[in-house]
Amino acid sequence: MNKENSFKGFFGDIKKHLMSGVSYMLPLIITYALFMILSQIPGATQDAFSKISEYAQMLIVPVLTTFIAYSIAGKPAIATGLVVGLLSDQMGMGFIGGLIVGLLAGYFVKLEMIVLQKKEGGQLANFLVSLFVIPILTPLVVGLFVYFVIANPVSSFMIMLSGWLDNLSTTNAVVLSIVLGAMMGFDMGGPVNKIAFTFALAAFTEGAFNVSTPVWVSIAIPPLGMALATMLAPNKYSEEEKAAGKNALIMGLIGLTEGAIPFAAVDPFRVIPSIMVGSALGAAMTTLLGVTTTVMFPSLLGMLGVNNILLYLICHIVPVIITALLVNALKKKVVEK
Amino acid sequence: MKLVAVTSCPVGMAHTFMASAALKEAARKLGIDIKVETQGMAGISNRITQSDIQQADAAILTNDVIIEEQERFEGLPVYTTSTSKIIKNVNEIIQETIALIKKEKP
Repeated sequence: MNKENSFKGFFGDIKKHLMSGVSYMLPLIITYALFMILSQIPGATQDAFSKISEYAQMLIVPVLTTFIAYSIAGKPAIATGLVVGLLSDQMGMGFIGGLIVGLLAGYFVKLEMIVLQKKEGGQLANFLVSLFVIPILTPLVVGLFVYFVIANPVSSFMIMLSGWLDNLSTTNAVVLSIVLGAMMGFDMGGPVNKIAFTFALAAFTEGAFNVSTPVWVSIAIPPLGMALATMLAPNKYSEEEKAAGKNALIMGLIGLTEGAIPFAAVDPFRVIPSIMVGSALGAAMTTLLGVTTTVMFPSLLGMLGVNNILLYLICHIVPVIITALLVNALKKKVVEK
Repeated sequence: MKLVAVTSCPVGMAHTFMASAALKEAARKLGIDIKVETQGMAGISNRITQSDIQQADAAILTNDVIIEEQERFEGLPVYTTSTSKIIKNVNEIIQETIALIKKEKP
């Protein structure tokens, strides 16, 4: 009942490991981006802040790699994960490289543990395994594989990708934003949303703010749109939904898409398309108007690093109004029991 | 009947806590005792202790990201699911966990 078949289970596990890595990495990205802004303030602290930001950035990919490996194989994977993570990052493999190398390192350590545990060797064997095999064999094999086999193709791919993202034609950029924005709205913090979010994170760590900003903008639109909808047409929502509307307003201002979930759970076929339109529109407007932010915060906090506050606000307000009007046009009056 | 649960999602700001709230609310309505530990961005809160586990009949664990100290739950029937499934179908998940307890301890 709770056992998925092993094929599906394996890919489900990979997703879990990747998201675990992302989860441990996120605070570092926040530190990096915030201190980068602080380091622009002239004064005695400038150098300290720029160093903090620089080192935080340096740790992003190694920590991602490490915790993907940790999620797969536990504590023995940490040391190797850090080393091969730093190696892959320094070789220009970036975020995508970090994901691949994390999986490699984790599964390699797990394989070692399975193979070695089969042989009942007693304490001496255990001792030798922990002393030599895991800390030496793993970085040796994975490290050489990264250095000689995958570093070149992956780093060329990253250069190509970041070149492509930097020089996107307006049409392509808008299409990309629409797709990512719609994905963000589709399941409000669920798996599809996280794919778009992770893509934006990858772009963000490469400095492609033109790609990441539309995605951050699309985060707050679903909850704010639903909050506005409950205020504009209270007779179309139940008492619970009106309460959820107030909650959604707060969640929207903080930047949590999940605030729209209570509405989508009750009435998915009217709510989800409306918020997808809103999120996609917000993302497309952000691209068209050239709004970028250098922090990875959505909603109000996103203004910390924005190039044009007025346009940034417009990119939120217009889609929020459209979302609210659209969902209310689709909704019928609620008959309270 | 007593259940223990751990919720954790990738960002650790919303799904983790919404799933926790959903479990507590549904358990309260069904008259089931539940303790929910959250592992969010700010770390573990409402930690499930060894004595909680000894009293518990089953554990509900999320699999969005790795759960810290998962080995605590060894020996207990474990129902694995995701935070979004809990938010959407919490009653079904509690029913299935109860079914799991009955299957393992007839």
